[in-house]
Amino acid sequence: MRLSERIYRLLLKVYPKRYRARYEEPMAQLFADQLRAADTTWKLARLWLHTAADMFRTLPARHIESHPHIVLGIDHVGGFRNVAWNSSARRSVFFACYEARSFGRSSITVEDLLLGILREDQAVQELAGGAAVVEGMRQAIEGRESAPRAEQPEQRDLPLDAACKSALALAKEEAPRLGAQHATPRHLLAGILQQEQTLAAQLLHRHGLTLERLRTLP
Amino acid sequence: MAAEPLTPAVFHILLSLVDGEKHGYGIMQEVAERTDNGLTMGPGTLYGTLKRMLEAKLVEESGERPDPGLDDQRRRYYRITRHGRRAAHEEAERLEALVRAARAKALLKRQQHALGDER
Repeated sequence: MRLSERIYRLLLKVYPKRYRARYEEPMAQLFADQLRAADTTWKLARLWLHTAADMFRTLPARHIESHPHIVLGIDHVGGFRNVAWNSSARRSVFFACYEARSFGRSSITVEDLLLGILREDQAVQELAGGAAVVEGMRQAIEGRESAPRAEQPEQRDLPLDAACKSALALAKEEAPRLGAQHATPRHLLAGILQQEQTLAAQLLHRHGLTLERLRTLP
Repeated sequence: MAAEPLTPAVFHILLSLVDGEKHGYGIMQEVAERTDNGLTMGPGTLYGTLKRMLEAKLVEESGERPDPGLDDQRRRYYRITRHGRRAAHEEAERLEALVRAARAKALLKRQQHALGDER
């Protein structure tokens, strides 16, 4: 077995277990087939470049699918069931779940949701004031925790807490109000801003990101 | 109501399977050839799309066997279902109608002139 194939087989371990049970072998086989056709250094470099991009594109989606509880959970939040989440909003909630797990929480809070959005959406990062402000927000949230983050958090689905559910429901109301067909991370941010008592909303306010400003942005 | 348009990846996979069952590498090679390497599907994209297509019953697995043209490893083959064939047919008609509309507005003709001018 060639070194590239061995490396790819190792990389495949980052896909969810359930998905790997069915697709790990065919994926490794397909890569080996591509490897056979890559008979020059240039072709091999191109194959690795494409493969890295392919993994980057598909990995979040496979993990989101493997957590049906979260995905189905957010689909049934709020009365606006005809408003669908776009893929970026789904990834934000997926990352929020990861944040909550790393803090050892039993449910996802609006602070986790904010960290999830900031991790996912570059445009929202810019809106919030750039990388330095985002880092400040992250530190403010982490600083409130009594225990340090777990390095390898347990892989399990978590429910949304009451404020987070409310933020998601309001995000779904916000999308049609602003003429959007899908609820996006920006609508999630509007939902968070309406949870005024939470640290997440206060942090956004402190950096000039108010509901009014968010609604008037192009 | 008309069915939702298929994504390019789904349509290309269905099109590859219209004339017979294929394994993943066979599908990937045909799509790359048809699009002049414009659409290269890596293992993650191909099997992620096939997974969704299996769930939507557009394709089905047709067993494992070696491909005599490659090595002696067993490969999983896929075939199009009746529902998949209908979906591919509807998508082809939708695209044909779009091309007809583009021709009616002389878009294709204009483009050919423009390309001709550039030469």
